[in-house]
Amino acid sequence: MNLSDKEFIKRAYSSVPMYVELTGDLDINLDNITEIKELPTITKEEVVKQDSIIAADSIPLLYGNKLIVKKTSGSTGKYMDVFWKNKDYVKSMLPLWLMRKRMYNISPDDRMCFFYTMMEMGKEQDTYMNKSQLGFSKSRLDDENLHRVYKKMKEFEPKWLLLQPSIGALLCEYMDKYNEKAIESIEYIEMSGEILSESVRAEVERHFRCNVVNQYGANEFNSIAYECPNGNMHIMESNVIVEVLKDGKGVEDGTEGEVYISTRTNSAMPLIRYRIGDIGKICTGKCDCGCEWKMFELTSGRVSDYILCADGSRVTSYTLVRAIESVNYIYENVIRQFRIIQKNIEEFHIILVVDEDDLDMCDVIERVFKESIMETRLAGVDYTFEYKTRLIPNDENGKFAYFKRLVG
Amino acid sequence: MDEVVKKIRELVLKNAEIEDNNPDSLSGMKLVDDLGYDSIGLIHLICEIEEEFDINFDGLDELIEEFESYDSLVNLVIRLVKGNSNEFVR
Repeated sequence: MNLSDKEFIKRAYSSVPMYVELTGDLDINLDNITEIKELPTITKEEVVKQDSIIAADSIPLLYGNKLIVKKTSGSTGKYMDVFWKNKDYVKSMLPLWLMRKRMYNISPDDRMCFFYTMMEMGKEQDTYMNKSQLGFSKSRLDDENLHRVYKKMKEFEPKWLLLQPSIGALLCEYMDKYNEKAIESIEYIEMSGEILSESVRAEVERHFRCNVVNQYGANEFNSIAYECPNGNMHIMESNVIVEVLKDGKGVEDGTEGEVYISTRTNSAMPLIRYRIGDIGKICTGKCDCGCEWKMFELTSGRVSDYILCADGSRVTSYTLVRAIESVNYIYENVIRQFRIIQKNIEEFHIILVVDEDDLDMCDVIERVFKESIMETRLAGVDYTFEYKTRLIPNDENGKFAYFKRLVG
Repeated sequence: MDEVVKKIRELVLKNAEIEDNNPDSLSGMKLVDDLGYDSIGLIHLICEIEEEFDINFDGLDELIEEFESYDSLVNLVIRLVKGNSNEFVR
């Protein structure tokens, strides 16, 4: 652990209430710590109250609305506000922009298109546009909307796209169905938010005829790893420390295990040795792309699946995630975690984790949820709800799937 | 080197988000906290400085630290410019 990391951790451990408590409970002497593995790990379940994971000097900034707030996305099934000081956020984002520029000649001014959830955008809107960005809501991507989306993309002439793999696959399917050609202006597509399979990568490359680059990140940390032109994912070492553990113990490079991330930049809400819920490995060897940062491979992560409709068509599960987000938008994150299970073609079981005090809000939650479903193919189906007050544990494979389909 | 410093100041002010666009001195100022830079603005600045002075900022860790303050940025650029001019000394 270098001096800068040691100082960062000492500051975090002496100013964040949750860590202060851990220091006492586990009798940790911060002056004697030489390696990060001597510190305890933390999980999402343990980061329960927002206040307990914010550094003391940032609390006044929090209440003065001077911190940047990012919400973890629905792809993990669990919502959490992540707070950043402005300068830390900038420091955290800089390596990603530098690598985009260096490796693929992508600049912030270049026109780009992206897809967002309502939670990410902070409000309801189908489209977002400024001089260099054109964004689309991903909650209702039926054929009618995809016509509109693709037409606007062609008119906008973006140089690059930022997509989730499931959205990339959906666009490819649409292009095949309606014989749409690739948009010539697109030179680069960055995939993020879900695990990128080789088949989806190949499909997107074939359809769009451009570089497809993988980026592994999380709203808790921003960018964690980025793919170089040699196809290797390099850890963003100026931003995070990545560890791989098995049964709580570190493993050798090249061995798969649970991924734990420590921020090097977020001093307001410093997550240290945080189990992110993904499985991966730190790779051995060096890459000759010029980047000295270690290589990483994600072997199991966030997966998006499709809802199967009665007419045989598929709808992205984000459609129902959006309904969850509508509830949270109105009722201030009342839903802390969720899981959607498609039991039959027209039967969905929704598991919602809320605080005990909010159990009396069931009726209003369900009403808003149903009213927020924009997709007509899901309008007449049955929804049953189940409420829990404790977070749903990960599946046996260590992942958490926010959507499960038991049919088709 | 006075010309170099003058040009750096011009480029920094060009991309800064501040009310007074001609302050007396930028010394002691932080690019993000005082001059309103975000990550996008910093990238613009990095690219413009590289192009203007024909230098290359290598080593991402160091770069991110040096770009925190105006003074460390100036020192870094001067160091790189001097390093480039020394290459042509015979």
